[in-house]
Amino acid sequence: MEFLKDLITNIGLWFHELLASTSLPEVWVRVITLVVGASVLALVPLVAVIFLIWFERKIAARIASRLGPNNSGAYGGPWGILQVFADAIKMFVKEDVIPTAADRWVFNIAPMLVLALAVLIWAVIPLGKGLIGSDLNIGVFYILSLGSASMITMLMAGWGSNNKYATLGALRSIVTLASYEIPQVLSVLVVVMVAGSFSMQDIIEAQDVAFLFTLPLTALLYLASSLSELERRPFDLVEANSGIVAGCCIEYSGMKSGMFYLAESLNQLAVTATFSTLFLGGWRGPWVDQAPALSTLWLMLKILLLTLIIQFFRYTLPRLRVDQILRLNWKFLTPLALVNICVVALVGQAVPTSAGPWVRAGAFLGANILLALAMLKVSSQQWQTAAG
Amino acid sequence: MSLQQILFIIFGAITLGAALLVVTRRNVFHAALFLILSFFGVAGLYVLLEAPFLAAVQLFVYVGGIAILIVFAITLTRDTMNPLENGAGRNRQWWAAALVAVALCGMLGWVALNHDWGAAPGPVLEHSIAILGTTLVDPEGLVLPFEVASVLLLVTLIGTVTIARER
Repeated sequence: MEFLKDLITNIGLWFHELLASTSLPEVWVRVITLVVGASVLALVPLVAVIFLIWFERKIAARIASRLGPNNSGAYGGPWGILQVFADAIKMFVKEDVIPTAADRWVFNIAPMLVLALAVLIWAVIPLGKGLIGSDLNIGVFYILSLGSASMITMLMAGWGSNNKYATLGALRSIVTLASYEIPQVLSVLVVVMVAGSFSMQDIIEAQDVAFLFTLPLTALLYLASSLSELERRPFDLVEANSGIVAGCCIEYSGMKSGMFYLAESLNQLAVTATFSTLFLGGWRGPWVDQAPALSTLWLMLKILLLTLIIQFFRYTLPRLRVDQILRLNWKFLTPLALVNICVVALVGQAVPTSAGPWVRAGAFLGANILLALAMLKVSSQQWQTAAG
Repeated sequence: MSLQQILFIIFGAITLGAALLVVTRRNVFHAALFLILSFFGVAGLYVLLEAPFLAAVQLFVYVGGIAILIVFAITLTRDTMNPLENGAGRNRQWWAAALVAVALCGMLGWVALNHDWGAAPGPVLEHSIAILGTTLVDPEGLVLPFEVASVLLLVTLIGTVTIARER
């Protein structure tokens, strides 16, 4: 029972003891443990993505009032869960087409890079109490900079295809991504300011009251800008399936396009995990101190909830045009994010720490609500003058 | 040979090798991509120097900003899928360039080797990011360069919008 209470840490310790009891030198034991740990950590999101894709199909079907993988026939497995494996196998066996005039090196490396950068993010996501790949003291910033560095892979995909439309799609993607980085970074900065540290575990520890309730506007800002970074509806014009097919990834087929799809799902999982960490309290929940293995369960529930919300957006909202996306960013989200930072910083200084966490939380909440009301008033005036 | 030395050699080799490939590739897009690889190498060197924040900023600013801009400029201006034929891009005064490069390298090397660089730096402080943050806004620290840099960025933004505005 004691073993079960802190299950994953205990498994790791047991493995380490197993290796240490053999006659290998100390250094090799450490290296093997680290390599095995890193491999398992890299596999966790890949396995979770399988479940995530099935989940997404079910929700899409429900919202569209139709049967999803529920009824894939006799071979679909219970609840159609084998549908995802069928998709994966399909991608494996498809023919790998490379355009004749494409730049082979760039064309082939782009999907690998996309997947590598998507998996790298998982090194700093806290999967449970004491369960983190590496508790970097720049935790959140590492995630942001990897997201920023992954923009180059789209350019490689678009340019390497030797296709004007792919290049244009890649350029438009990059413009959207680079623009929405600003409100994303600014909203994360607010959380870092309030928590006092970049490190993911520290941010979780600082959330006696989940930041969703004390900084709701910031949470919405982060959600909106991250949805655009992920290129999910309503911001997914670059891969509008019925229109432009796949934006920068038109010429990819088979496993390579599967890698892009996988990387997109991995990024979505990482964004939901980051949102849970930053705003929902990560792995915190009841009875976590007594049984740390429950912390992973709480995190998974929060991730599922967030995925549900993102899928709701995806299947109910229409798509925005690129100029509407950019206008939304530069005229609405960025000024709002800037004012949000100033207001939260002022309130954080005005309410001294000695007043206790609840008073501070209430002050932040009040400031956020006032800011939201002011924003609504200002933007409704703008819409009236624009429409009238 | 400690692990740190091995990692330093690896990252240094990546940085220098990629930099060499930048200046020798015919295809400009490939040169830009090798420049990005060089930036990754430099970020690795920053991590070895126990400056992880700087490594993340390097990725953010150089790879996610400057390199993207370079690639934008390349994709929007040149037809580089067909590398230049008939030697149009060949450098005819390569011997003068080689002479200047060797002279510069010799001078830099002589200065670097004959200078007394002082003692080894002290250990890295524990909360280096917090200290960096407070120093950036400390009146006796770096607040003046910090604010001047932000004014510079503002000037750049206004200039860009003015140049790119529709008349």
